[in-house]
Amino acid sequence: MAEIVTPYTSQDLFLTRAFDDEFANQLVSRSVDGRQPFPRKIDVWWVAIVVGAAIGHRSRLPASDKLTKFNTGAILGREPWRVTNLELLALASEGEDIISKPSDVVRIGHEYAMTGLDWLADKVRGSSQPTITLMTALAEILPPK
Amino acid sequence: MNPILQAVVVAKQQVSDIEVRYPTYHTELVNTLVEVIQKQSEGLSDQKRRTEVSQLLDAFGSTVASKQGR
Amino acid sequence: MQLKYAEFHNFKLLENVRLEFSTNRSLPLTVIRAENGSGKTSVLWALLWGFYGTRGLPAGAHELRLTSSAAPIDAPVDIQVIVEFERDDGHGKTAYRMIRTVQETPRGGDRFERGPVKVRLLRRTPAGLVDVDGDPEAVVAKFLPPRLKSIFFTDGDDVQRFISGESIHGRQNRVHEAIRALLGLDSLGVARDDVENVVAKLRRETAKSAGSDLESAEKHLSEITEAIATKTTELDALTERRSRIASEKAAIQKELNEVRGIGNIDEINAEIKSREGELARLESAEDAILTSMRIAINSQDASWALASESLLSGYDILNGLADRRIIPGTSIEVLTDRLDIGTCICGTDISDGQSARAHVETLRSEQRKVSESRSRQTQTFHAARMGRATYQGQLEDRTDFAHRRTELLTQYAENRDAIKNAGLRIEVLKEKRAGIDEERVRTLASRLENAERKLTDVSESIGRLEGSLADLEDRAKLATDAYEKAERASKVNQTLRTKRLVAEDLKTLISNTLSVLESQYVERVSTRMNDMFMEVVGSDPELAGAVFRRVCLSDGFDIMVHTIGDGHLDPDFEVNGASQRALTLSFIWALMEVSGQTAPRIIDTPLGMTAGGVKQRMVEAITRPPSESDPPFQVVLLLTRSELRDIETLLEQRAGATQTLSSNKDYPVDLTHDWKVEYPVIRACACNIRQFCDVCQRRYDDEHGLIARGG
Repeated sequence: MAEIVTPYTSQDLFLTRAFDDEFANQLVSRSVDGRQPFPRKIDVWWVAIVVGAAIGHRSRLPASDKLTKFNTGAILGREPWRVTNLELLALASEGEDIISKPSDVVRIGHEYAMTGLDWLADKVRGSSQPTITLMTALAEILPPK
Repeated sequence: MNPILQAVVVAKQQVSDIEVRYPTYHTELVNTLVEVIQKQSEGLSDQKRRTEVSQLLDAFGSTVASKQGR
Repeated sequence: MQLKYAEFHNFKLLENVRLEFSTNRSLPLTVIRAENGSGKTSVLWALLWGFYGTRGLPAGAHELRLTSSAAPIDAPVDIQVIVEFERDDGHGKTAYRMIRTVQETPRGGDRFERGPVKVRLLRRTPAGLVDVDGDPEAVVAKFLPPRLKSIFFTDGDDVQRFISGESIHGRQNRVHEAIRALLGLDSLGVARDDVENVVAKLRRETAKSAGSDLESAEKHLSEITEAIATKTTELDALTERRSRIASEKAAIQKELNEVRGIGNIDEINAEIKSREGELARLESAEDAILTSMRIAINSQDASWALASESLLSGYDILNGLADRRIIPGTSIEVLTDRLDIGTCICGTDISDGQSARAHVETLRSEQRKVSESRSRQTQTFHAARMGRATYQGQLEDRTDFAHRRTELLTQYAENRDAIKNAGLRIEVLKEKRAGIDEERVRTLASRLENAERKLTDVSESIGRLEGSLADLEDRAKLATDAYEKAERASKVNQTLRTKRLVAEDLKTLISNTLSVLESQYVERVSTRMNDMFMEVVGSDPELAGAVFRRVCLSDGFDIMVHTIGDGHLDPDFEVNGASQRALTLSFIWALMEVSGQTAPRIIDTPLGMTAGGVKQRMVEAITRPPSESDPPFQVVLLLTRSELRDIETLLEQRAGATQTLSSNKDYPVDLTHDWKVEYPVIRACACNIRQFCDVCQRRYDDEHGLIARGG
């Protein structure tokens, strides 16, 4: 279903420089073992969005010198369900027309991500077992059963 | 009991295993035994004592030989 | 033989000490009270020296100086020991005086010069004291055979020598010797050798006078006899060696068992390996759990679970559009699929020709006409539907991310605990193993193997030797027969022959008498030893819990300890110190009683390691006066104050003489009074065990209820 992804392939995706510098090594690892929770930076980005949405708050993006581009939307081709979910989040935030403006959808994603990255940083900073730390911390933002 | 006496008591029993060369041989054998032992209390050197024991037995042997009529 | 008194002049610290011994038949005990370092050992050594000279001193002390170490350098000192004793030689009691004198000059440090020793043995006659005939040392040696000095003069630890030592063979020999010497069997042995000497001599003479046939037969017999003697000596040495190796082996085995008792190292290693395997598996499991967690975090399930509110909200907007028919409720793809299949979702037949088919086709073409943005909305709506349905389904059967998360965290925690426990268990096992000290076990096992090999070798050699000996003995018989045949055949001097036969008769008689006596004595000593030992250690074989059933002397002259239940203990290291002392003293006492020996028994510190009932009974047994029919005896005990404790009354009842020895070296720490003498010295005083005086008083004497002796 690459079709779903097409509008976003040329969109730039960012993380904050600060987060990338401090946490990329600790949290991202291609290798199979689970000691680090994220296989790629796109996964960090996505989970940050989801966390931001769970918290229910969007934060303004900082100046571009504080951001670092790690990929383009093409990377989302692997998990098209993320595109769908991103669009749902955008719809929920700014209404039915947002969906024809891919750059705004991505903007909304980034705004959620900024919130999420802050939360992630706070939770995993200093942890030698980030996967466990993260799994445990998620309890705080999971909706009550 | 005096050790020599002890020895004599037992020797008197044990001597019956020996051939009787003539009637009083056993008694005389036991007496000789006592004499041989007593040589040790005469303060002699080993050499001298052996010589005297040898003489003792020599004398006794001669007696036995003559009593046996040879 | 009974000691009357002894005087010591300048022997070590015994400057001028005189000791009186009890010669009262019904009070055979003499007590000499002395603390350690107050001359007990010196008195013992002085007596030994007095009787035997430096050779009489314990091994290692032969070269020691006899003067006090405080004696001024280069000043000659006259050392003298006088012992007056009495002896019943069958014609009534004779009194003797032994005087041994030597001059020694200290030359600094341990160096000294010693002049010639003067020894005199005087006999008391109506005319006064007269030197005895013959060599005084030889005469004394007959009264107190030097070989037995450790029986007559025993120091507490020496007492062990009959039952401990490097080898069983050694111990057996000592016991055998003691029995022989004390029971007069020695003299029978010597007599036998003397007669054997004559036999050999007569054979040679006979052979010479009779001619070469007989001579060669005699020579042949002599050679065989000599070979037998040589091999017998070899056999003795090998037997001793085997016994020593066996003792070594037993000691190694014991140590090995102790070390192994900590645990079997192979078992422990196997368990460690198994646990380590378990640990590795658990660690793998942990990795798998973490991987599962990673997958879960990055999954769509997690997204829906965390952002469910917003996602559902977004979905609802699209759903709303679909409800208002602004976007199609069904996607184009689905419609196309249904047309291909020929059945509608609701089940209606829409295959070719059916009227319903046209309706579906119309729907499809309408959908194609929808605008771009609506088209996008439609796509998203249909894609989201699936995600949402999955999420709802998971919520229903509790397989949503929240549940999965809890599940994984629990698994992780449990696994962690198991890892921790496995790790702990491994540590415990490793510590246990370290306690075993593999190295030591290996070394011991290897030494054990070695000892076993040596034992096998020695046993084989012994076997071979025994075979040779048996062989030689057969040949000796044949050679003897041959000799006698040759003798009869030759015109030998019959008188000579008779002499030889008579000598052989005598030799046989002596040998047989000797063995019978030995076994008779062994039995009597054995019985007496058992009676005394059991009395002293207080074991009633019928009482439950008694360990010792019986002690005895075996035919091989081994002192054996039998336990209840038919087991036996090695007296060397399986019997405790107090019992060992009791055993040895019982053996010595039994020997002395059975042999009727009246030599004095002088014992230094006999009661070390004993206490309570055993102590009481031991003293009771060794000081009990002889009955009417028994010969008198003397026992001299050198005891410290603490050894005296709890047996004072008994000692008072049995002691015919008591003195105390003290050393001024103990002032002021233990000794109360200053003797005002600049050099160390030992003095005797007449205090008995309840008294003290200016010479011997020690701190705490009055606290222990001792009273001052007037004068």
